[in-house]
Amino acid sequence: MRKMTVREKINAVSFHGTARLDPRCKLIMLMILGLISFFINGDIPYLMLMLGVTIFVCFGSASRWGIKMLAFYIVISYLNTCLQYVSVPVVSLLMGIFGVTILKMIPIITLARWVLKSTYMDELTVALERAGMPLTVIIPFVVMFRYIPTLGIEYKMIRNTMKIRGVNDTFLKVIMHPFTTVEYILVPLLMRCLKVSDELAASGTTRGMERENKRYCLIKVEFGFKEYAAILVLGIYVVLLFLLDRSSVGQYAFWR
Amino acid sequence: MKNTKLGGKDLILTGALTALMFVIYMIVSIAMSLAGPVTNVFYPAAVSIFNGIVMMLLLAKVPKRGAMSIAGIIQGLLTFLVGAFWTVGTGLIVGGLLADFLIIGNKKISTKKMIAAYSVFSGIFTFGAISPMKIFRDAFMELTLKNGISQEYVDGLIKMTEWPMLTIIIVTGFVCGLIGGLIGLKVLKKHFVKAGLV
Repeated sequence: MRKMTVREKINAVSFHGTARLDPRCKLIMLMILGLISFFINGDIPYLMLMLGVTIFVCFGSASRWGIKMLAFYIVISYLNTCLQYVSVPVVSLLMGIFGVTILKMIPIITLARWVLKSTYMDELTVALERAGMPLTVIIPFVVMFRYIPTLGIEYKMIRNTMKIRGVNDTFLKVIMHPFTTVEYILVPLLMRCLKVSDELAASGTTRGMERENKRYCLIKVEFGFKEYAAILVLGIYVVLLFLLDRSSVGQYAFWR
Repeated sequence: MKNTKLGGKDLILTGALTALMFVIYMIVSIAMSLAGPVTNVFYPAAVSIFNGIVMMLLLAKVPKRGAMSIAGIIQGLLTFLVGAFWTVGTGLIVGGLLADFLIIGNKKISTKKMIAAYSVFSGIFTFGAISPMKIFRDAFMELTLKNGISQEYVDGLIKMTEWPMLTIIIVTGFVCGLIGGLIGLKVLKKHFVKAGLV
């Protein structure tokens, strides 16, 4: 196997396809998706929206996640409509609300997690800085995106420690004693958060994050033709979905 | 000479704690909206109690003007993204800015100021989250119905937000901000000061 040059190693990124779009473009798409998913209510347009999101994500080298979310969406839609025929008094109300809330969130969660996973943090910083945002906005944003997966990991470790100590280990005990739960989980989480952000701040200051000057990035970041094309396609798709929603196709109950 | 500008370390801490606050907000709001319309109108108060601890820690570590407004602005923007009604996010942003600029001046911050600021923030957030059910009632109910939530839930919500109840809910928002702040300070003293982390 021949040795790769440094340039080849840098360009051998692990994300291909739509994941290589500019981060600003991805964020704009996420915002537009959030707005329109609030307004589109028919069954078929919503399904088409979800299909659109899945195809987009599959192109960006995350096909397993996209298809898993699509299957999840279909199952929950079907269960939701089954609920309208079976009605147990209290449970069906709860499950109805649960189902609808989750259904609204699935496309957003799909796209959001994919955006988080497929964007490199230095790309995101440079893109946001080129968009003209001040430092006080960029740093909390980037830290937040970087920190949410870490939160999940810390939470799992804290739960493991609680199980070892025998404190609130079953789900029932967690529900029954809410205040001790909060104290046993939240306080260690906050302490870990402080330590992590101290380390992050030290590492960031070493890399010159606080300096107010122009930033560069190894991977090329530009808002070029591909991004405009992607937003145009998205705009056309959104208009199409709105028209479908208003017309009779939107009222058609797809899941029977 | 005290440095009043937000440095890199402060911004990173703000970002991390705001992420935590947003996650808590999502979990509590979904859990409480499931349990029925009665608890659904009280969800901002519950969120305020839990977020009190995190916000008190943020104010204790970053006692500068701007910490609270950044937290409010980021949480508001995230609620826009997730798809709540537009007054929730606006309430968060306005509450954060107001609490920051009215109460935390450039003088030294005391615990009373922290609690007052947080309770103002929580009160405005409650107002923003619940008042559309009364003020913009038709638009809100129509949107909720179109989203597929059943009619009985909407009726329950309407019953819950008649006039005397609405003032009670908003007052509860302020009071729970106070309670959240006090609990937060107690937890801070008990754990964090002893561990030397504040």
